[in-house]
Amino acid sequence: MPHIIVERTFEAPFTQQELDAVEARMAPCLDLYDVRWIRSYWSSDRLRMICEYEAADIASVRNVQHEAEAKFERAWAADVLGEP
Amino acid sequence: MQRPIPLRVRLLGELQLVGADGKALALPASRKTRALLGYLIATGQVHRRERLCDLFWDGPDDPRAELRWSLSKIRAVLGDGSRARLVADRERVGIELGDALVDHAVVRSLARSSVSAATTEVLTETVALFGGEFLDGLDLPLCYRYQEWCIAEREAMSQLRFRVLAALIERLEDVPTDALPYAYAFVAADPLSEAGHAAVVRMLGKMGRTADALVHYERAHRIFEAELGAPPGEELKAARQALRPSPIAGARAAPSGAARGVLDGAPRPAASGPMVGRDTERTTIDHLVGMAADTRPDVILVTGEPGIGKSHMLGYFSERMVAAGGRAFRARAFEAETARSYGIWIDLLRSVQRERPGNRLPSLLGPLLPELGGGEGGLGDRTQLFDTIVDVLHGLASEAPMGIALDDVQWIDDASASLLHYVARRPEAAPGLLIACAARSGEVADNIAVSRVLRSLARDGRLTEIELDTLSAEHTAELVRRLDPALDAAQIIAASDGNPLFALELARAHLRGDPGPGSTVKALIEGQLAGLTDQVRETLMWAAAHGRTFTPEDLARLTPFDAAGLLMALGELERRGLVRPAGGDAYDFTHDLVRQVTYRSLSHPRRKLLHRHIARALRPAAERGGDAAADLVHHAVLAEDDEMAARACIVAGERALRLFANAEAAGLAERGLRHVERLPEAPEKLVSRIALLKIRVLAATGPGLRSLPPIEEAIADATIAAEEQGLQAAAATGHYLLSILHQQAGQIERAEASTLRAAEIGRNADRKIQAHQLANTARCLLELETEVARARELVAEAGDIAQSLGIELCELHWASGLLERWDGRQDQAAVYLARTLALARRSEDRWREYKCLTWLATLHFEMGRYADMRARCEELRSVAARIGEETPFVDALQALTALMTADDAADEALESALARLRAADDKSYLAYALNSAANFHCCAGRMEQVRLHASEALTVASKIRRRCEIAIARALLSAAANSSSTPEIDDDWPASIELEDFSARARAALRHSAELARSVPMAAPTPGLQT
Repeated sequence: MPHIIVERTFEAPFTQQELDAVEARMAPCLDLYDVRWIRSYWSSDRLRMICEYEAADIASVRNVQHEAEAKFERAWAADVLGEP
Repeated sequence: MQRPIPLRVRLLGELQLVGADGKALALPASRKTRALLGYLIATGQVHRRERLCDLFWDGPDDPRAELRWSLSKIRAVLGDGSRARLVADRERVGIELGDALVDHAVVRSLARSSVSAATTEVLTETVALFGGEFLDGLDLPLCYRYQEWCIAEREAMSQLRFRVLAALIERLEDVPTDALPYAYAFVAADPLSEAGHAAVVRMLGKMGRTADALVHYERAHRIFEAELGAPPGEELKAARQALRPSPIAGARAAPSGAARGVLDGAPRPAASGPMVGRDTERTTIDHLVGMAADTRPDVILVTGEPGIGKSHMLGYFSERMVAAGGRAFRARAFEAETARSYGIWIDLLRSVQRERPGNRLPSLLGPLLPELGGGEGGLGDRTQLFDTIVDVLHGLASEAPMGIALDDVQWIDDASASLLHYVARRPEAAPGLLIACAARSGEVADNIAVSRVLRSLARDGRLTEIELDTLSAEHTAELVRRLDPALDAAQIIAASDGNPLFALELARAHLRGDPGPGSTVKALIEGQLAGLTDQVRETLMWAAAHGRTFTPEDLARLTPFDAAGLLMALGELERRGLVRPAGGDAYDFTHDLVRQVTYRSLSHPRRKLLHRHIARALRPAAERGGDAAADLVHHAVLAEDDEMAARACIVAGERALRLFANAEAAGLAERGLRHVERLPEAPEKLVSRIALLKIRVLAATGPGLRSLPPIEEAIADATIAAEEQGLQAAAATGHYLLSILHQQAGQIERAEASTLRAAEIGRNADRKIQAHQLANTARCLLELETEVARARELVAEAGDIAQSLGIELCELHWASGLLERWDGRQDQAAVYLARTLALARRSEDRWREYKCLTWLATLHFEMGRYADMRARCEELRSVAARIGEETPFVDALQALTALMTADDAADEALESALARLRAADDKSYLAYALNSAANFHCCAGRMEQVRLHASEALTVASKIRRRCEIAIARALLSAAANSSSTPEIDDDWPASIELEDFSARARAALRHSAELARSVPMAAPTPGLQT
C-alpha cells in the first residue's frame, strides 16, 4: 500500500482535546475509505503535525480528512527510506 | 408660487424619509427591506436584480421572489406622496430620487471637492449632518456582502467626519470656546484618537481651565492604558506639557507625566529603609496596630499620587504588625488583571499557603485555588465561598494579630471588592485582623466597585484614610542624603516637587553622573534601560508585556533564553533596582511605572507579537479552567486575536460564574460578544455567540447586579440560526435562555414554550445525530459503491427518523441522490443532489458543496446535458479554489464532453486531464474517466483505444476495489476482445455475477458487452449474467 503523508499547521497550538475530537470523527471514515493510520508527528509547540497513512490513493486520504473536518494543507504519496 | 418641499432622506443615523408635509414616512417593518431601500438611495444607481439578490438573499431558495416582495414594500413607501420613485424592470432596479435632499449625498459631495477648500460655514453645516452611524441599526451580519459594503461606507463617513472636525478644530484654534465642542465630538467618536484628546487638552488650557485639562489628560491616559495597553504618545504629552504649571506643583491633579513617571526606589518591603518623615501617618498606623489585638479595627486606606510612597507605607504597616508579634500578608492588584475574579485574594491566599505550608487551606477553596484540589462543585453559593475565606483569615488572626496589605486597589475586580467588603464588615469579625489598602487618588474613583466599598466603610466610621502629601524640602533632603550625603539636595528638591520616588531616582541619576536637568521620569527610566544589554532588556520587555508578577519559569516558556541566561538577566535587573523578589519564586517590577515605561518602549507590532506568544503559552492552562483564562483574555485582546479572545472570554466568564463573580462574568460576556461579531460567519461563531449570551443572562441572575441589557432579540436570532444550521446543543441553550428572560419578564406562557422547545431539541438532538450518522454512513458506502444493500437500509432508517422529527438532512438527500443514480433514475438523483447542494451552501460547508457539484456535473455528463455540466464545472472551479482542492476531474469531464462533441483538440485535452488525474493520484475518478473514454471509443469502433483505456481503468479500479468500474472495464475489454480473435482477460473475476449487484451504469456496460458476445460466437466469453 502506498504511504501518504498529510501536512497540517495550526495558527494556535492544537490542543489534545481538539486532537481527540478529530480522531473520533476520523475513525469511522478511515475504515470506510480503507485508509490505515500509521503514525503522526506533533511539534512540541503544537503548531505543526505530520501524519502518515497507508491508502490505495491520495484522494482517499484527502476525502477522509474532509469527512473528519481535519485541517490540512497538503497530502502526498511518499517512498519510505531507511526503514526495514 | 411656492416651490414644493422636496423629500428629505437621512442615511447618517437611523434611516428616515421625511415627506413634503414634514412628516416621516412609515418605513417597512422588515429590516432587510429598509436596508435595501437605504442601499438603493445611498448608491443612487440602477442595479441588476442578481446583484441585489447576492447582496441581500444569499441563501433562500427563491431570492428573486424575496426581492420582489421587498420592492413592493418600497414602492408603497415611495408612492406615498414623495416625488422619488422606484424604477424596476425584469433585469434592473433603482430609485429615481428627483430633487430629494439626501444627507449622505451632501457629505459625499464635500468629500469629492476638498475639505480644506470648503468654507468654515460649510464645514459647520456638514458636521451637523452627522446624526449617527451610516444606516444605523440596519446591520445584516448574515448578508456579509451588504454588511461589508455598509461597514466600508461607515468607515468612509467616519473618516470624512474626522477630517471635517479636524479642519474645524484647526481653523478655530484661536477661538477655543468654539473649537472645544468639535474637539469633544472628535474624542466621543474616537476615544482612541490621540489628536482629539490633545485638542481637548489644548483648548481647555487656552480657556484657562487647566484643572479640567489635567483631568481630561488623566482620563485619556487611562483610556490609552486600558484599551491599548500603552500610555499616550508625544502629541498628547506635548499638549499636557504646554499647560501652565499649577502653583502647587499640580502633582495631585496630574499624577501622570513628570510627576507620575517617577521610579520608586523606596517602597519595596524587601529593601525598604526606615521611613523619612510621615510622622503623623506613622503614628496613626502605630495606634491602629496597637489596638488590633483587642478591638475590631478599622480599615486603613493609604492614598496619594504614584511614587508618593503608598507601597512603602504598606510596608511600614506590615513591619509594625510583625513587630507587634503578629503576621502580615501582602498582595497587589494589576491593571492587566481587572477581569481576573478575586485576583488579589487568590494571590494573598497563595502567600498565606506559601508561608504556612503545614496548614493546608480548606479544599472548599479549590474553585479559587485549583492546586488545593476539591474540584469546582463544592461551593453552594457566594456566601459560602466568602465565609470559608473569612474563617481562614479569622482562624489565623485568632492565633496572632494579622495584617492584610492590599496594594493598588484601584485596579481590583468587582468580586475582590465584594470580598473585601465582606471580610471588613462581617458583624462577628474577630479582633486581630487589620486590613490596609493603598490606592492612587485620581484613579480609585474610576473603580465603581471599590469606591462603593470604601464609601460604605467610611459611612460606618470604619475607614481611616491616610492621604500622603508631598515630602517637605527637609525630608526630601534627608531622603536624598541617605543615598549619598555629598549629593546636592537643593537641585533635586526643586526638580522632584517633593515626590520621594522621583527624588530618589534623580539622586541615583546624579550618582551615575547623568543628572539630566529637567529630566522626566520617562527619560530617567529610559536611561536605565539604555544601559542594559540586549538580553537583559529583552527579558524586561517580556516581563512588562506579561503584565503581572512573573517567575523565571513563566519567562522560560516565553523567551528564547535558557535558564542560565534568564537568571543572569533577572539578577542584573534586580541589582539595578528595576525588578524585585515578590514572594516565592516570583518577581515584580519595583514600581508599575517601570513596567509602563518598558512597555511603552515597544512598537505596536512588537507588542502584538509578545502578547500573541504569551496568549499561546497561556492557552492550555486557561482551557483547563484555571484563573489563567482572564489573563488569556487580556493577552488575546492585545494580540488582536478575536477568535482566541472570544474563546478566552467564554472560559473566563464560565469560571467567573462558578465563583459567583457575576459582574466580571457579565463584562467578559460583553467583551466576548464584541470579538465574536468580528469573526467570519461559521457554525463555531454561532456556538460562541450563544455561549456568551448564556453567560450574560446567567450573570444577571445574582443579587444586586446590573440589569440585563435588551438581548432577547439577539438570543432569539442566534437560536433560530442555530436551529437552521442543526446546532442542536446551541439551539437548546438558546431556548433555555429565552425561557429565563420570559420568566423574568413575567411572560409565563412564552417561558413555558421556550422551556418545552429546549427540552424537545435536547431529546431530538440525539435522534437527529443518529439520523445524520446513519445517512452519512450510507452516503459514504454509496460514494465507494460498496455494500449498497446496507446503504439502502440505512437511508430508509435515517429517512424515517428525519420524517418523524420534521427535519431535513443534507447527508440524507445526498445518500438518496446517489441511490437514485445507482438505480438509474438520474432525474430524481439530480433533484436530490440539487437540494443537497442548497443545504451545503446554506451551512457554508464548502467541502460538501464541492462534492455535490462534482456529483451533479457527473450526473449531467451521464445524462448528456453538457451545458448544465459545464455550468456546474465552472461553479466547481470556484469552490475548489476556495478550499484548496485541484480540479483534474473537472478537466477530464470537459475533455470527455469535447470528445463526444467531436472537438478536434479533445484527444489531447483528455490525455492532459488524465495525466493530471494520475498526478493527483485520484484513482476512482481516473477509473471513471478512463472507462468513459473507453466507452466512447468502443461506440466509435476504435478498439485499440478501448483496450488502452479500459486496461488502465481495470488496473486502477482493482487497486481501490471499485467493483462497478472493474465490471465496466472488463465489459469494455471484453467488447474489444470480441472484435478481435484473441481473448484478453484473464483474472479472478467470478464466472457468474448478479446484475443487481451493480450500478445502472455498470449494468448497461455489462449488457452491451453480453450482446456483443452473442453476436460474435467466436469471441471471448463475457461472464454469465443473471438478471
